[in-house]
Parts: sequence; structure tokens; C-alpha cells
Amino acid sequence: MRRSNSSLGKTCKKTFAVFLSMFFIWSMFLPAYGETASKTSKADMIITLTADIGKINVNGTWIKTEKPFVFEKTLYFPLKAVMESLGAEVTESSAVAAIVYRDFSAILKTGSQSFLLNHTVSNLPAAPILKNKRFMVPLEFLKKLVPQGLNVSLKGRQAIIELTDDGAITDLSFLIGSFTQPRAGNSYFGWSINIPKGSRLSSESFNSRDIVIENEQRGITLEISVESNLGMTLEKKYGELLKLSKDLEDETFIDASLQDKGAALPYAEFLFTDQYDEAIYQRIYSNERYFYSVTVTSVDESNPETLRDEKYFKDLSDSFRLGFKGNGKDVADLSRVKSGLAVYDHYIDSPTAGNKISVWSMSIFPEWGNLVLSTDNPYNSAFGLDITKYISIDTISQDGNQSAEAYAQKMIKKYAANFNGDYYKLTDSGSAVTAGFPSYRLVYEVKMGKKLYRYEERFLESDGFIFDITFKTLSGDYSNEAGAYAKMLSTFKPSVSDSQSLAADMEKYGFDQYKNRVAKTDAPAKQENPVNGWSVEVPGYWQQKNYPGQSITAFNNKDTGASVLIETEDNKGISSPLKDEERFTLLKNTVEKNLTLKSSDTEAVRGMSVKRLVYRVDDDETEDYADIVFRIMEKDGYSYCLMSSIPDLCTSERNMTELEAIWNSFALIQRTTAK
Amino acid sequence: MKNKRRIRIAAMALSAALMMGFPGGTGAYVFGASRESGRTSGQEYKIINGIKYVPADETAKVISKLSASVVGIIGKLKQSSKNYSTYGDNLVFGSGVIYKSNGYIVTNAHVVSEMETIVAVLSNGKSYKARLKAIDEFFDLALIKIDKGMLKPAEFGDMTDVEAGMPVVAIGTPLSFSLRNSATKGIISGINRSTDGEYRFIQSDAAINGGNSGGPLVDMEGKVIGINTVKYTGYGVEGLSFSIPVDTVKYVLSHFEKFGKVRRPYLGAAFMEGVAAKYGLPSSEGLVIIRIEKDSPAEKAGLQIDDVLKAVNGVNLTTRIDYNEEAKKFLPGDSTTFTIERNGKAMKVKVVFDEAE
Repeated sequence: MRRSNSSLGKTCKKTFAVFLSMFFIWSMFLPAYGETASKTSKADMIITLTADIGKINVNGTWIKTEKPFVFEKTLYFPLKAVMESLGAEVTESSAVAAIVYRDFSAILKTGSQSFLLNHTVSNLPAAPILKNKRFMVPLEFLKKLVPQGLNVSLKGRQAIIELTDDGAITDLSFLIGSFTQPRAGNSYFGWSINIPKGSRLSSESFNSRDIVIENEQRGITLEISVESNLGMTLEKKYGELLKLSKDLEDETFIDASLQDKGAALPYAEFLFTDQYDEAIYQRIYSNERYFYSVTVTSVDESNPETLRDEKYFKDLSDSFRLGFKGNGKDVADLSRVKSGLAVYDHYIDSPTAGNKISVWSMSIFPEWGNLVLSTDNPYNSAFGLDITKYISIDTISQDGNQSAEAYAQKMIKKYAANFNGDYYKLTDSGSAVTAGFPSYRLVYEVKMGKKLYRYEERFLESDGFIFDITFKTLSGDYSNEAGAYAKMLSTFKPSVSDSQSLAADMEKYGFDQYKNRVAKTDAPAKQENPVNGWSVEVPGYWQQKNYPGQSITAFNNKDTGASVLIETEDNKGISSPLKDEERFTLLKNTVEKNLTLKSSDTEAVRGMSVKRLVYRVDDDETEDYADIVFRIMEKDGYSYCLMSSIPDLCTSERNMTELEAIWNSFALIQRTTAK
Repeated sequence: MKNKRRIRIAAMALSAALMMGFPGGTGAYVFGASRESGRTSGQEYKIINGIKYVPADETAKVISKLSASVVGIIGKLKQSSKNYSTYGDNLVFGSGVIYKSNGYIVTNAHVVSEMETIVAVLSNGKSYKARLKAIDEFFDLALIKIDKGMLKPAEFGDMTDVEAGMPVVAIGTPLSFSLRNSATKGIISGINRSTDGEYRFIQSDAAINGGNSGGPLVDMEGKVIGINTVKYTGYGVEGLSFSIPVDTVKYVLSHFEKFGKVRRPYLGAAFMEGVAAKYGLPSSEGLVIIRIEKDSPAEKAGLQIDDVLKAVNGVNLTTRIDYNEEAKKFLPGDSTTFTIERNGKAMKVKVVFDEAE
């Protein structure tokens, strides 16, 4: 749009008038403003205010305000106008003003010299005054609120406020995981290492035990993991890992050696390539408490020897040091451990909410990692060194508002019914306080193999849920560990963010579990398999799983770990010439584990000759202690193998009777041909 | 109108140039210089002191005017987010518009709702931590605050000035944070569009992509007329971008300011749209009430299942979005008149709204 000459003329006149008036006002402050500005040219903002002038100058822009004034030698400034110019959040009422500015907050009251600064009482030289509904506050307030990055100077009746730090973030490493230091370390686990320039922290476990540093542009990944050595030597660990290395599925083992002679810090090294033909070089270091795994992976290298020998990579691996305690400005401390514990926030995927739900948080021993005690229960979490020493937390829906104590009493009865008194003994029970919540406590001892364990269970209710927290440790270790356990337990905090969705999820989970039962009622229900020609009666609360390709059907009791598996083989099939130990998958798997054969005999049962084999499993690593009974028989051109087992702990009279009843109900029936 | 606005801008620029002590520094606007202006091949030009100045293209002016008011927003996903990954960088980003000079920024709710730490990056590249001040998932709008003063707020327009065919510019952070303050141009394809949302949208063909969310859709006067929110994607789908209309944005912001949230009137009745309306065909069928909650304002007003709601306060309705848009005019506690049809007879019913949770 073209402007006419006449309108331009009007504009010029108007502009000139504006200019004149602006110049007049400007000239009143120019010296002070100009003088200050020249001294502090780096200021992000300069605010000039003068007593009895109803406007403030912010970076050269005039803003109308309540007039600043001097009263009893104190300069009062208009709080809202000045603070909002700085970018603060200000809410004023007739008596109270609240200010939020970056990490600072303040609450001022008219007529009161004291005010709250970051929730702590502080004082002003004079009380704020309300003038025309606006808070007028002594200039001193600014210095107190923002002690750094804000300079306030007073010249007679004029104040100059210079903001030298406008709060801009210069270090975004908290967001993008980048490093400003040349090294990264962990002050809790005591290690440090050089970081390739341009790297970022890609992931870290809640306890910072496992750290992944990536450098996408160089194609390098650096992984540092720590685990307790439990008294194992580096040499023994090397031997153990060497054995495992050769059986890895995704990595191809290339080479390994123990560098324990001449090296300043002895280490074991392993060279692999992964499934994408990327080179992997791993070193294992050791100190008196931990093993440290330092792994360098390169997407650009396919020969791991390059990562071991080429100077750049060798220097990287060689830069690993032990003994870092958080000292030194050149090391980014990645430790997430505070007061000897690491906070774990527990979230559960909620199909109902379509999001994750916060459930609880707790501070855990940093050495402890996640354990999987139950593969199909999403409401159980466990942490520990291994299954001999752990804490387990179950979240349970508080059906019908049952109290934690009522739930605990139910568990006492359940344990008494399921556990064999030779292996289980309730030693204490009663009310307790857990993490500030009223709770109920059970203490019992459990014998597993040759070891005696102490279990302590705490039941507490919150947010409509019961939290069942269990500690397991060796009985002999408990007295030394009690204090540390108590400290960990005191940090437990229920934090259910969406109790409605969580309850709905649990209801659905319960329903799914119910669907898997063999029958709606608990009474034994006949399960017929006409294709394989057998039937058996199994309690309704047991669950069933079929392995179609192998003609195996499995029944199990989730509460006790008892199981019955039935396998059928055609005597005319290709496996018929084989021995039972090779013919039946169930028996073959057992024999291959080198379990002890306790007994072998043959008995006549229901008109059949039944071979009975009893194997014994005593596995300290998996804590499986049980007799496994095989019954092998044949009839009408087919052979059958029925395998039953129950953990020693659950060999109560009731459970043994139940298991025996299943075998007694086993019958061969008219076979139908599979379609 | 446009002339007046231009004159005002010229005057401000002149005063500023002189006050900042830049005689001749801005070239075009030296006070008292000889001037001439004209047009060549449709392009405006000015000759000042013998030098020919060609003003920047209108689009460039719009972008230039608004860029300082558009921010990139970046943050890490909360651990509670379903998209949170233990092994990813968990960074998400979007765009925002400076709404007030003391650091208030409006954006989409979906940009910030799952962010753990919110960082706003200004057009000058400076980054500031932001606080979430208010959020409404239904309107998909949120207000965040950075503690930085003297920012340049965007000028918000009015829907009465918006019409189909108008050229518009979208500014934001498409696909990569390195592309922040990217601008694309298009035209308004339609207004009062009903998509799968709860309220009406502006439809345009200005290209928007992931990360544009929360950024402004602006008219050629540089006024924000919408907040870019959603686009249709798929094989053969092109140029279907949707923005929250500025009137809705203003409505939500006014509630945020007054109440800290949107106070939504609650009726306690569920509606069914007519088949024609469902297909987007012209319709006068109204909305059929299919459910009434116990003790709700609908029940108290005597509304019944199968009543057909034809109008609220005299404004005819055909879709649920029509109803939601009309309901925006009321606060909880307000009363209004529903025109309904029951068993073929028209009736008027007085309804007093409650407050939605």
C-alpha cells in the first residue's frame, strides 16, 4: 500500500511531536541511565526508577507504574511492575503478595517487615505498603530475593536495577545427557573413565550401576556395569565368563585373555563381534568389592582387535580408573546414590489408563538389581544380589476393604496349609509400623537345601491397595543387616497415581488368571485328552498348559509350585526303539541335568505295569529342592510318561495328598483320532 | 485500518531509532530525509536519499514480525509416560507462542503434558526452564511460564477476520529441533471444521509436521489466528492441517488466568448425532439424548432420554461439537434455555449447569 505525501506529512508532524515529548522525558534520566549502561554493557536488563515519577524505564522502554517513593530514607518500588519486567510471577491481594522467580519464592505482607523467602523467615528494613492497591516494597527486597545476578544501586532518589544473569540455561546436559567434563565417573562405585568428545549419557539404571554412554557420530558406545564380586577373584570370574562367552547366541567369541601381569590395574579382556558384525571389546576389572565391566562397541569396526590395539581405543580403555570419590572438576559424577541408597520409582503399564501408573517408590541398596521372581505377575517387583537375598514388593488389590492384618492372617493360614513343618516355621507375628504406616508383620524361617533363611513380611494398606513387602536373607546374616534393612524399609512410599485404573487392571489380571483355571470350582475336575487317550482329575484352581508339538500337557498349582505333566508317545512312531530316557522329552531333560536317581522300581497299578523313577534336584543356584517322580507305562500301542513334582517346602500333607490323588485319578481312555 | 496500523509502526520505529542513538542506522527511516515511494511490477518500493528500498515480501514481514514470539519447547518424557524408554533419549519437543511479555507461553497440552522438565528456546537461541501453569487436555492447550521479562508477545487476532482462502503462515519446530522457527505458507481451507476433536478447528494447507504443535498459524498481518495442533496423514493425504481457532485459545487462556483451569459447564447428558451429521452432511436433526446421569443438571431440568436437543440459547445444533462450542459461553452455575423436541412437540427447558470435574 502506497502512502500519500500528505499522510506522510501528518505522520512526520505526529512523529516529531512524539519525538519531542520523548526527548524531554528522556533527558531527565539520560545521564544516570547512560552512565550505568556504559559501565555494565553486559547487563541483560536495566531498570531505572525514580522516586515520584510514575513510570519505570526497562531497557529503554517506559512502563507506567505506581510512583516509587522515599519514606524514612527508604526507597519503595512498585513490586508487580518491576518484578514482572524481570519475568517474575506476582500475585497481589490487599494484604499479601506472592512472588515466584526462578528458584526463589517469597511471600510479603503489608505492615510486616518479616517475609517468607524460600519458606524461611527473612526481614526487610521496612514493611511493604499498599498504595492504590499496589504493593510498594523497600528496594532491599530485590537484593534478598535474587542475591546473585541482580545488581541494585541507589543514587539519591533514583535506583538502577541491572540484571546480569537473565536465567538463560547455558548447560543443557541435564536434558540431552551431554558432558561438559572430559571424564565421567561414579563416586559410589568408585570408577572414572575418559569420554569420547561429543558423547552423551544414553541410559543409566536407577542405581547408576549400569551406565551407557553413546557417541553417535563416532559410532562408539561405552558401557560400564558394576556387580558385587561376592568374594570371587578376577581369575575365577574370567574362567566363568570364558565358559559363558563361547555359548553366547548373539555374539561371536573371538578371543580372551587375563591381563594380570604387568598391568597397573589387572583385567580380563574379551573380544567379540555381534550379530551385525560390529566389534566389541570388553574388560573386566576387580577390586575388593566389585567387578567392573567396561565395554567399547563400534559400529564402524568389525575387528575387535582394532578396539583393543588402535591407540584411540586403547587410550580410551586404558583411561579407566578406580578410586573416584566425587572429587575433581574434570569428572562428571553419574552416581545416583544418596545416603547409601538409590531411589527406585515403580511404574506399571496400565492397559486401562493407556499409560504408566506410578505405584510406589523406595530407596534400594545400590548393589541390588532387579530380580524376576514371578514371570507372569506384573504386580510383583524384587531387588537383590541374587535369589538368596532380596526384597520383594507385591501390590495387591484391597478386595472388600480387607485390612492389612486380615490379609496377613489369611497368609498365615495359607502358609500353614501349604508348607511342610520340616521346612517352615512361623517365629513371630504382630502389629508394626512400616515407613510410617500401621502394618502387620510376619517373621518365619524357611529351610532350603542346607541353608536356613529368614523371611520378614510387612503388610501395609494405602490408596486402596495392600503392599506386601518381603525381606529374605540367611538367618545368620540378619543381625548384621537388620539396621540397613530398616533404613531401606523406612523409605517405602506408596504413590498410586491412578488407583481406579490400577484396580481395574488388577481385576482384569485376576479374571485372566481365573480363566486359566482348569475349572470354575476348586473341586477336582475331570480333564480328558481323547487324542492322547488319557484322563485325569485335577483340582479346579490348578492351571493347564499344552505343548502340542510334543504331545505334552502340563498342570500346575501356582501357589505351591506343584506340577503334573503327561507325555504320550506312539509305540509305532520313530522314537519307539529308543530308551525311555531318550524317548520321553520330560525324562530326557531331567537326565541331561545330571540329577540323582534316587530310586527305580516297577509296580502294578490299575492293571498296568508302571515303571517308577524318582530323581532328586538340589540346586542351590535356582533354589530348586524337590523329588521328581516319573511314572512310565504303556497300553494299546502307546506309551505314557507322567511326571510330578512339588518343592520340598510345599510338601505339606494336604499338598502331597492332592498330588497323589491326581496320579490315582489318571486313567487311559478310548482314543479318538486328531483332526 | 491497514494504513493506520502502518503509520503507527513507522512512528514507533522512528522514535526508537532516534532514542537508541542510531542516526541513519536503520536507513529507511532517517527523520527528515527526502522520500519517494511507488510500485514496480506490483512490488512496493521507496526511494530515500536517492537509494531505492524494496520492502521485504509480505510473508517475510509476517515471519519477521512473529519469529521473536515463537519458541521451541523441548523436554524429557516423564518416567510415567507410556512412551518413556529406558534406553532412549526420551526427548520430545514442540512449539509455543509468547502470550505475555513476562514469560507466559501458550502451547498444545500434548506438547508438555508428559514432559518432566520443560525448556523453552527463544528465537535468539537462549534457553529457559519453564513451569507448567495450566493445562486442559480437552482443548489441547497449556500455558507455561519462563522467568524472563520484556519478551515480545504475539498479537492475537480475531476469528471474525478469518475466512476461507486467506493466506496464512505456520511457524514452529517441525521434525527436528534444529528446524525451530521454520515457516510454511498456505491458505485457510475452511473454518469451523469438525475433526475427531471436541471442538472446532481451522483447516489450512500450510504444511505442519510433528513438532509444529503449539506453534502459531498467523494471518498476513502477523496476528495469531490459531494454534497448530493436528494434521491428517496417510497415503494420498495432503495439505490437511488443523489449528485451534484463536477465539478458543482466548477463551481457554481467560479461564486459565481467572481460575487456573477451564471451568467447564456440566450437563450430565450424553448425545447422539443424527446420521446425516455423522457423515458431515447438512442436517437439522438436532442431538438425541441417549443417557442422563443421576442427579445431574439434565435430570434436574427434566430432560429425558430420546429428547432431541435442537438449540441452546436459540443457537441451532447438529453435532456434539456444536454443543461443546455453545457450552463455552457458559460457566458452571449459569442457566440457559434448551429447545428440545419431545414426541414430535417442541418445548423449551431451563437448564442450570453444574461444574465438570
